[in-house]
Amino acid sequence: MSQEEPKHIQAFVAGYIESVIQLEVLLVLYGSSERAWTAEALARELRIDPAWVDGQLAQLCAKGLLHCSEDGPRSYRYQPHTSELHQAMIDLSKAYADRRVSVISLIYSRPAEQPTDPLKSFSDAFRLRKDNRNG
Amino acid sequence: MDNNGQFLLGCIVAVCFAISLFFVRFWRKTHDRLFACFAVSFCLLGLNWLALGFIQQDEVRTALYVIRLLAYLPILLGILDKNRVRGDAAAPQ
Amino acid sequence: MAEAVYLLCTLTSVLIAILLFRGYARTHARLLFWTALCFIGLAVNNALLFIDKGLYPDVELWFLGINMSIWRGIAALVGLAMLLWGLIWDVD
Repeated sequence: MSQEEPKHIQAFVAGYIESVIQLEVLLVLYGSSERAWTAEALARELRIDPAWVDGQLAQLCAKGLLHCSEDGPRSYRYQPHTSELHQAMIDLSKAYADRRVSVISLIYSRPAEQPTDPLKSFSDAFRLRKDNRNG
Repeated sequence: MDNNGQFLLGCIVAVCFAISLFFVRFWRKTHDRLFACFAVSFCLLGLNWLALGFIQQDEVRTALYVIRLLAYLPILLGILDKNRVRGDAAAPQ
Repeated sequence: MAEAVYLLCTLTSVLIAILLFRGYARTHARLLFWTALCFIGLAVNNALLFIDKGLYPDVELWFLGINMSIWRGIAALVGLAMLLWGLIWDVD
């Protein structure tokens, strides 16, 4: 189960990864870190809504995982703030490749004791759909 | 309106704009449109009470209540926006 | 027309408060608690406005020697102040 994953991977997922599709986005950027992606290119690559991708990229950038460049069309590149983040990303991508199910269940099994961002709780309060994962 | 009422309105207006500023900050921090909606809403509520303070006539007669109605609109739109179905059914936001 | 707006605003405020209380019950994030109270205060403000202008338009209402317009203002201000408190102390 997800308890097999090392602590730093668990912490990384808890703090930065909300969903599998978000992880996929991050992995694309991580896998091609020399290239800067626009939201449209990423949306085409993964076949998802570009507006949603743009929001996700902005969030990941705000959290310090990506570098956002404003000259020309807005583009993003994988550039974590700290080496610990980068190491966690390396290990997470390996874990995802080797033990995909375990990582997925880790993403969706947020224990209740984890401190949640009040702004996220605020935002989630207005989600009326049943698949609110952060309840 | 007497002085007490005016003072009360002044407090209300000030607090509304302060709240609105907080939501602007949250919007910039999280890039979540819902916070922008709340910011606009509280700004409009502030303007509503500001106008009430300066217009000495009856609120009903001058149709000032329209601003009050408009103030709730951004929040409702924000809630609708948050619950829209996206291309990926499992996508958050 | 105005009365319909006040009633609508009352119901909308209550709806938002319910969503926030529900979220607070789930996450125990105090910000949601204060925001919910704020919208309760706004709901009271709108409800009193509806009663004052809609049900008793030709009469000035007084309660405990204080004009209804002051009570309305107090309801709104208390709600808003609680939200401001929560925004200052209960975010991060």
